[in-house]
Amino acid sequence: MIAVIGLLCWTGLMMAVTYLSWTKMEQHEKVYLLLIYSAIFLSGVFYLFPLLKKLR
Amino acid sequence: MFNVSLVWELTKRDFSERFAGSLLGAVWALIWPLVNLLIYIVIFGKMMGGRLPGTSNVYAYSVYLTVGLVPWAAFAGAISRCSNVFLEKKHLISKINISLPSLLIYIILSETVTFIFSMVFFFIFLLLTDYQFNLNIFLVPFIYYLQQLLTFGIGLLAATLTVFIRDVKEIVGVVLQFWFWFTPIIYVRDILPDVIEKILVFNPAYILVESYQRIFVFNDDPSYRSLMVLTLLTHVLVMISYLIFRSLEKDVRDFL
Repeated sequence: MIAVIGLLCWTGLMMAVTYLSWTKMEQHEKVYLLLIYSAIFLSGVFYLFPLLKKLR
Repeated sequence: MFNVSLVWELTKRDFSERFAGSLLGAVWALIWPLVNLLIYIVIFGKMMGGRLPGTSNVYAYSVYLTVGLVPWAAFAGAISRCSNVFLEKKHLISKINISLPSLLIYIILSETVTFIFSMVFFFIFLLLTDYQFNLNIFLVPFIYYLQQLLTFGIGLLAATLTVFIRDVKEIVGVVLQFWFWFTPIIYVRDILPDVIEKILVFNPAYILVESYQRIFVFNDDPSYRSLMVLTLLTHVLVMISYLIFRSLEKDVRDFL
């Protein structure tokens, strides 16, 4: 269950950061920033999930 | 400009137009995934007696087929449609100042809705067959997100190039055919010659499909390392596609 809650928290955090960045930036640069956040988010998911599963 | 409500409207219209004039209308969007699922389970699993080597479960091959074919349909269907989207929607592009990549997003969303319907029916089937769910199932939305991001990267590149070279759309179709048969979706990896098996790790679709297969069929963890590498490569691809698109955007609009 920790793994699932961890995934939800990580997703929520990254969505909030992405939303704030997206609304505050105006130009096309925000697309690149969004992609960087997306890469960090997914890498985090595939790194954190097996770690959190071991905590059970 | 990127417009969320426009993307949503296009997605809804995609469904209503697809089944326009039919008596059941959008209900067909539910019927098709159900029919496909029944074919995988009844025809391939039951009637043709397809079995997975090393498993005794009667439905193992049906599950194997479903978790390969359903994501592949979303992946290939979206790429195929994306490759022609700028030409298809040129009447819209010439009328309003629309963000061109958002046209790809509506196609990906539309394919995602079909994917969700299929997965709902698939989960009902799993529940009916006393399937033992494991925690890794929670990874499916993330793997699917990665898959559709890869779709977006390939689709944006193909859509941009198709405006200048119409043959790209046909080439995409041919590549997708080869790609399908180069990915162990309806056959198992073990039947491939060693040489092919070694180069299979460079096939991104294989990494994605194998992840679904490991989670649903073998109750195992996906290869996290492969998924992380694919995550990085996919984002690099999307960035390159977007850079190419940005450098050609003005010409794309002029050509249409």
